[in-house]
Parts: sequence; C-alpha cells; structure tokens
Amino acid sequence: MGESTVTMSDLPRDVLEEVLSRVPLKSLRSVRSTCKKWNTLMKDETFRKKHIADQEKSAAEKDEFLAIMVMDFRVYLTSVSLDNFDTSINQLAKLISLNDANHQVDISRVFHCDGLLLCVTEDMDSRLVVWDPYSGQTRWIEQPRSSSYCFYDRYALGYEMEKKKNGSLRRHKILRLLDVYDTSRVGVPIRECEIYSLKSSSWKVLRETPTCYIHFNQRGVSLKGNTYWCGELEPADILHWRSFLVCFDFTTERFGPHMNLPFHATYDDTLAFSRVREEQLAVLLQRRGTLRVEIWVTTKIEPKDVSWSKLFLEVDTMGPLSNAVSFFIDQKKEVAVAFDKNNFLPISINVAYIMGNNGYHKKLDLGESREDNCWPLACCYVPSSVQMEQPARRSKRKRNQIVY
Amino acid sequence: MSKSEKKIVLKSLDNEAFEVEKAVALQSQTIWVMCEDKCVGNEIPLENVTGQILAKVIDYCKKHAVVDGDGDESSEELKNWDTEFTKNMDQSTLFNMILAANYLNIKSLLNLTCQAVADKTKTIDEFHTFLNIENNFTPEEEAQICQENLWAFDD
Repeated sequence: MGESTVTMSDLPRDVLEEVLSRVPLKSLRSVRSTCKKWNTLMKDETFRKKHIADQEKSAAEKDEFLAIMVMDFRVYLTSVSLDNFDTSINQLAKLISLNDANHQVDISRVFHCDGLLLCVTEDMDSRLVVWDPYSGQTRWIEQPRSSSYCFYDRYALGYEMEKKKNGSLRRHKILRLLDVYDTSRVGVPIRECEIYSLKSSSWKVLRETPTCYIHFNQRGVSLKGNTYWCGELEPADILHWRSFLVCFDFTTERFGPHMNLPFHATYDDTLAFSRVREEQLAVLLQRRGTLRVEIWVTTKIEPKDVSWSKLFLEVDTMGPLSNAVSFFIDQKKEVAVAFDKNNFLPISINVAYIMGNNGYHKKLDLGESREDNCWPLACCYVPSSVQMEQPARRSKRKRNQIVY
Repeated sequence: MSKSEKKIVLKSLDNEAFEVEKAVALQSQTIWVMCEDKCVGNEIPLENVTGQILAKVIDYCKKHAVVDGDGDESSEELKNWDTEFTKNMDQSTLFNMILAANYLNIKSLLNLTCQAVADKTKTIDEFHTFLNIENNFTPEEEAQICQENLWAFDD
C-alpha cells in the first residue's frame, strides 16, 4: 500500500458520505451532475437527512444560520451571523435557471414553508412554481381557469399532515387569496380563495373566505404548515379599527378566529410577522409617526389560540419602516434584523437594521435598489428533509406539463 | 496529567514504530478499545496505516492532546493550526488521512479532513479533475440530470 495514490473513488460508501455531507448547498447541483453514484446518493432520504443535520451542526458551530433573501426580483441564499456589534449578512449564492438567457430568472414574490419556496415569476403571466432549493426540483403550477389573475393576488404554501401506517406524510397545498376593493363600487370587497393540492394537481374554490381584511402588503408567515396573517376589520370603520392575528389552517382549509395581538394597533401602524424556528411567531410594531420598534414573541401558537410573552425588544430605529418590512430575530443573542428600503430619490437603497437590547442599533447598506416595485424580503431557511410530492401519474393529456 | 504517564508504541503497516504518550494515542477510539481489551501489549499494530500517514496523525493528536481543555485563545490557535495542517496536503495524502481517521476512529480529524475536501471543490469540473471522478452519464442521462436541476443556487 505504501506510496499508492488514493482517490475519492477508493473511499468506502460511509466515508464518501462523510465527505459529501459537508458539501455546501450551493454545490449540490455539481455533486448530482458529477457521476451516477453521487446522483443516486444525493436522492437517498437517509443521506439527505444526514447532510442537512451536518450542515446545521456546522452552521451552529460557526454561530450562523441560512436565510433566503429577495432583492430586486433576485433570490439569494445568504448566511447570517447575528451579534450586537458584529453582524454579518453574506450572500452565498444566487438562484439561477439554466433555461433562461443569462441564467437569470426574476421572481416577484417568495413564500417559504417547510424548506420549499413558492415563487411567483416577475413577468406578464405571474407564473407559480414550487422550488426545493435542496434537491433542485421545480414544480410548475398550472393557473386556475376560473379566476382572473391580478397584481393583488397573494399566495401561501402550507401542508396538511396525512396519517399513514408508518408515520405521517406532509401534503403540500397552495392558497390563493384575492382581497381587494372593487374600485367601481366603493366599499365592496372582492374576496376569492382557492386552494391547490400538489397531490391531486388541481385547484378548487373555497366557499369560505376570511371574515376580515388582509392587507395586500401582508406577506403571511408559515408555521407548522399553517399561515398566519395580520387581519383587520373593514377599513370603512376607521374609528373602530382593530388589527388581529388570523390563521389559515391547511388541514381544515379554513380561516380561524380573530386572535389578539399583544398591543392595540391602528390602521396606519407598521406591522410585520416572522417565524422563530418552527416553534414561535414574532410580531413587529412601529406606530405611525414614531421611531420606536416593539417586537413580541409567542409563548403558545395554534390556529385558534395564541399567547404572547413579555416584550422581546424595544428600540428606536433610524427612520420609519415601510409596511413591507420583513425581519427575523435571534432569541439567544437578543438581536433582530429588519429589511427595508430607504428612498432617497432619485435612488433607493436596500437596508438592514440591526437592533439589539440596550438601544443598540445599526444600519447596513445592502446596495442600490433598481426596482421600484420590489421590497427586500428575508426569511430564515432550513432545507426540507423530505422530497416534494410529484404529480400523480395521469394520462399524458392531463398532466401538468408547463416547461419553463 | 502526570509526566510519568505510560507510553505506548504504534506500529504502522510498513513496520515503522512510533512511541507516543497514551493520552495522545487514546484520542483514537480504535486504539482506546484495543487498550481496554488488553488484547495487545505495549505495542499496537495498525495494519491499515502507513508510517508516513501515521506520523501526520500523531502530529495532529499531539497538538490536540496538549491544547484540549484550555481557554478560548488556544481554541482559536488550534483552529488556525488545523487550517494550516490540511492546507498544503496533496489530494492523495488528504484521502489517506480520511481513511486513517476513519479506521482509527478520531472524529475531529475525520471532520477536519472531510471538510477540507468538501471546501476544495465547487464546480462539476473540479469534481471530475481534482477528485478524479469519472463522468459516467450517457448523453440522455446527462440531459435528464440537467432537466431535474434547472433551478439552483449558484455562485
């Protein structure tokens, strides 16, 4: 054996797995495209779980976590390390599509649930696609025929737990929600709800719509398969305006009751939600005309019940936040980061505000924003440990065959 | 740890003998089990590791036996030492180190060397050339793989 040359092909399978489970997410396409053996290995569920666990462990050692960011219609994978005095946000990779010129694809909106990203393309058709950044799988979603798509459509991705003999399976669904006012008839809301099942590859119209108004700017946050929004009572009654939390339960396919927020907010306050791991929900409030930001975290959160802990953070920001703000928090470090856009006409800058206890506050410049209609979005990302459902095999004519 | 600690001798595949302190050698779970079993005397034959590789493994273990349990500054120093340790290793040495760390069951060394390989490669071409992996896809399979990976995070 002495001086013999050893290559990667000489490694036994368990050792090969040790090496490949340390390859970062952005290199996975390369790994899959290298040879048959590696492609097969990467599709193995046990390996996938090991890889995700190893990546998480290594990130935790470095005190980092992964986040998805959307800026100027581009989707980025970023690594975030939060510390009062030494916060860094590093872009690791960018979403590319091999089918497009320049390998670029523009995405107007992203919704994250369970390691899957529901993306809406930024083009005339506003096409929907569910993308699993871990496996590289994409699934294009056909548009419902019954409805007319518009700019005000909102989407959410969630799942129902289906009980099986040996455990349970996540059945993913997409909610489309249209909640606007008919401009030709003042005060008349148009509410439409439709749901798409990835299992059956079909849309259906929901008879029940929310009993409140969900503002177009609200992005919704996914937690344990359900989506939470800030709901408001009819805007016509401004004096009695009330904001609350409302959940769409993807199992019962219904909106839940109006649940309390930890404060009383009025119609022009800035409100945003964020997920804290897969466990809790955080809410951010900045009252109109003030710079004070409050962030609260739940102690209990279910589709029909919520309770809030004491105030997590209270700090003054350097400027007013827009109502398209997104944020996330690190409970251990007691730090929050909010992503927003500063308009210094004629240019706009994407910014991140780092906010800590004791009034600590810092602004990071994330570069010029060239797209007026795109506000930065950031959410924590943990890869999904299971494969996305593929459409059930049906006759060729009916199969979802949109190719991008 | 007293200086009078017993020493043991590790013998490589090519019969090279290394006398090391027990505390250094016992970072290897494999050696630890062999010593526990008392199935060996003071000399432990390691049939899967060459002297050249074993010398490097011992260097690693010595460094880690000395510094373990000390404060933050030394853990930073240790990290830098680890980086330097694998930095200039050629590919074959690196894979031999992985196999040795796996055989000797030294978790931290396995972690370090596997990470070093994973860090050195990013593109498909690098996997093919640096790691000597043969592209054994047929053109049809290659098209299929491409189709399955249309969207990805990339640099």
